[in-house]
Amino acid sequence: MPSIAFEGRPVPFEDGDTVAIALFRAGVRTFTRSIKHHRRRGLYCLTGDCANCLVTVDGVPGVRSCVIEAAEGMRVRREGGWPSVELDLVSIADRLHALMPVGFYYKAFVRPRIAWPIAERFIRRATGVGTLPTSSSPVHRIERNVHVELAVVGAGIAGLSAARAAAEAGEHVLVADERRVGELLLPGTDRDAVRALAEDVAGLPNVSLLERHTAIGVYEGPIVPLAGPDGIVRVHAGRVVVATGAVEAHPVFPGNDLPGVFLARGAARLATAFGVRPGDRVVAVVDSHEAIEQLRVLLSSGVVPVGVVTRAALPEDVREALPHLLRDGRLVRAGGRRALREVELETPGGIRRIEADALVVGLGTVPRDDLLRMGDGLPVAGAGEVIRPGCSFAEAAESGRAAGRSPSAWASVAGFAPVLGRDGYVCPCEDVSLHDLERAWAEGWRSSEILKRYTTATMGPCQGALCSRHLAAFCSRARGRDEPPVLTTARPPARPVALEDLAAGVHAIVEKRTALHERHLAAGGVVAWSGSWKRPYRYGDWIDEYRAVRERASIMDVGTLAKFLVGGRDAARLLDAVFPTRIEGLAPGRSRYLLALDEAGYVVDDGMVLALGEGRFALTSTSGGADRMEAWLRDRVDRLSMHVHLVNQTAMLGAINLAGPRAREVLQRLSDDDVGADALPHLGHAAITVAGVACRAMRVGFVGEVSFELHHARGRGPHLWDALLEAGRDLGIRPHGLDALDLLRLEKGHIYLGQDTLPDDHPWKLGLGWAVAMDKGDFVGRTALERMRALPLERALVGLRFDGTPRRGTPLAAHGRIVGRVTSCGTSPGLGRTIGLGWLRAVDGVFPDRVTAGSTAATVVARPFYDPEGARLRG
Amino acid sequence: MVELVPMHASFVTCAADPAAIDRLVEPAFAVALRVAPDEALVVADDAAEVLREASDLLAPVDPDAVVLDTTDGWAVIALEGDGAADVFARVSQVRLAPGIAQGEVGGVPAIVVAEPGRIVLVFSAMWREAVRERILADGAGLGILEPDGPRRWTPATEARP
Repeated sequence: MPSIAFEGRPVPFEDGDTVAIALFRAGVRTFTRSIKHHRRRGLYCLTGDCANCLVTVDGVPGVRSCVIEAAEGMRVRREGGWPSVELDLVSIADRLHALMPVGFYYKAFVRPRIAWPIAERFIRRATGVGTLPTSSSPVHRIERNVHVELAVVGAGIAGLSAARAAAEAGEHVLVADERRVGELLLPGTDRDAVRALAEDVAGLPNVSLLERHTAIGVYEGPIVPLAGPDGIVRVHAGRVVVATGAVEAHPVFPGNDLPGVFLARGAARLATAFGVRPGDRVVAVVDSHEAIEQLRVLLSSGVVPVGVVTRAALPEDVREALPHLLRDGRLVRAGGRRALREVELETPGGIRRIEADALVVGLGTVPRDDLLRMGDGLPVAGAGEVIRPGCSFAEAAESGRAAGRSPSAWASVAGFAPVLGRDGYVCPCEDVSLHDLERAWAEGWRSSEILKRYTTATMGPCQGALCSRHLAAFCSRARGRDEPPVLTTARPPARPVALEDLAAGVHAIVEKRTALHERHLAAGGVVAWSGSWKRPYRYGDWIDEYRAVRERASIMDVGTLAKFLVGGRDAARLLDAVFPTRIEGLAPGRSRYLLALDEAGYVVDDGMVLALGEGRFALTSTSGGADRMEAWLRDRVDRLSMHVHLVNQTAMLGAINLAGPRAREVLQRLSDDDVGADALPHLGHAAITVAGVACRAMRVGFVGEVSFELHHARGRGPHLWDALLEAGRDLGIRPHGLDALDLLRLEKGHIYLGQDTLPDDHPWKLGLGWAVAMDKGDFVGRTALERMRALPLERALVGLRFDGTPRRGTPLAAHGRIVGRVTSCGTSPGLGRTIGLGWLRAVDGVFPDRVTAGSTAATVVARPFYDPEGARLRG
Repeated sequence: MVELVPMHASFVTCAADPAAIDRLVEPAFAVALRVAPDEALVVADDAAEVLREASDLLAPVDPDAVVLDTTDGWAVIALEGDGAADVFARVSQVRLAPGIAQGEVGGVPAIVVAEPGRIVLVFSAMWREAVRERILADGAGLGILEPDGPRRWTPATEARP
């Protein structure tokens, strides 16, 4: 016989057993310890609704053992309890209710402040929930998308009827059930009918039936994610039919959580489907039509209750089979310590105690409607018991057909069957008793939503399946007025779901590469993330890369820059209306530095604008910001109703920056076009051919030397790169990466947006006031800039010369106060000292000129540090 | 079995007034994928020819129309074979239907062209490798093969606006 490994010992199971049944057969009665009072909890609903049977299976905590099928070698252990579930010393908590009143952790451990962090750790460990696996090896779960006209959750008679009706009308239908079809039904004609219908429906070409797939929510779309054996199936549906049925009403009476207390469906299932008696001395309290049927089933399985309490009229055959029938009895209390020992009943003749080891309670059903309520406002309808608890099989089928046929079969959620006794656990998951609710109410928490948050009732693993209606009914009753009960909001997940399932289909940033990626790798480049791009940081000796730029010639892959073409009648007007740079009058062949501001006048991006002629412009901006810039520009085009055509050329154009005192020489060797200082001056640009590649060459100067930024068709990048390296070989050319660039631009005092800036930097704070044309017309941020300019600067980005070498991020101090922070710094081989950028706050209206960065003294100096006149840049 | 096939084609981006773009779908010289009311991506064998013809078609309606050879900006891959839709369903929430659709595939914005027997994905060239790797990872177990060398893509369906 196959077996599972239960806490180190083999437990055999029979074909079709769930883990819970296998354990119950083996004599396990305590399945878990409750979260707060550490009370023993045993099998209760056997329908997957309560949290009494959560166990850890193969390292995964919180698995419903009554849902998961037993499999050979499966490792199962119980959760909670110290040192074990059976011998739990923390169960002393069950005697200390007075010390732990409802919401005690909000009121206790407040002083001293260290008390709560310590108490919290203890409380967390003491709660009887499972332990998350700490293995760092990722579990890859797949996500797949399915598109259908109708998604049906629940493959019972209602759900299958809905599926068939829709399928016959030609719709594509997906039916999902967290179990196998008919698994929860007792043997008989109903189960046979459901299975026959399922076979019929699954055979239709436009229907797919997914068993063992649990719907965990209903989202806008509507989208219904299903957690299945492999991962997540994300169902995109035109509409959804929720046919999740009803859950048996959870009776609230003292002792209602003892092992041995069963809901009637669970007890009947134990006895019939698995041939296991719920107990030897069974007392049954049955008040619904369905429960009476279950009593009949119990009887036919040989379980003869020692006492039956009912107010309903029993069928003849059932009544005759019962030795003891209490017609006017009322369930008062269940007693016992480790498990149920006796049942206390109130009868006209007084209190009666019956010795028992199983109490079967069947009082009716409440809708299992959280998915339905999540679908409020979406094309989601209910069918069957979820909208008509207790309805007959035929009624459920008819309701399913109606929901399947009509897209507008809306249904209100009806059926409250709260059964509140004298006390007892209202929310077994969170150990919230009726007494707790009364106390919280007396403290002033007086609505279901707020009572829920204070007591945590409905917030446990079962997500209110048992108790949400009790909570609502309690509030309604406590208010004492004739107000309808208000349910708390239903939210996903409706059922416990593994974290790795939630992570299915989630990936890290998708990596962007330039066409030169392979070249960087081949050259031994250290290629790593830079935003969403993979870029080379260095190829070896990065100081020599720096020297190549300053003394010889060097190339860098700048294909990551955002690049746009702006055309249309209003191109110039748009750019003038959006950017603070003056566009009008920018002659073809010339370019300007460009700042992008938001409405508050704060700098959000920078780049270059090139006048191409014929009213067209090219735009470059920072590498990380292409998508944001495109969206921003398109938004402006729409808002201003301008005739503009914008093409994002970021991906289609590669760009190589050729820089250094010998750069022009290298370029001229590869081009027949004139690239001299007159033909192509600083901030000029021209269409030239380099090594047979059509390029737009721009004279820009981020690194402070003569530079040519060569924009070209992406695919020609490798050829151009190779040609430049070959042409400059005798001049000592080599490529440089981001590390060298960081130092080169720092020497020129150029900022990195994001690194050297704060979200509320206007251009003057950054020393970029020269880039703002306040004497032109309106542009984005202008009004704010006018106001801010009138105020003295309270903070500014400054150049710093350090006596030592601080780290980036070091606070800057003056007169014993923190006045700023180092945003960039590096040791310049050319200047022989450490320089940096940092922001400073004015002290009493004056910016300090001497500061300290940690133990290092620093002097505020003018930018740029290198070639302040720009002679080398313009050369 | 599914084949992940690298494809190549020439692309011309046309940005112009919607009325001008409307004219692009008339000629038989290429297939225009309309990606926005005022933008079409023309797939062709010969970009130079399309540049010329598209400019001629657009100019009478919108003299400021932008027509650009954007071939280098695009990566094209096709999923071919019986399981193509299964692989696709693991990497995209886009609903497959004849014609073109736009949405995220493998985490990047893409144009999806569903043709008989294959699904063609057109997306930015900077993600060429990333999307390929994502498809192989998420499609693991579905038997994805990668045949050698790119094949030329000539769209089978004309995606009318």
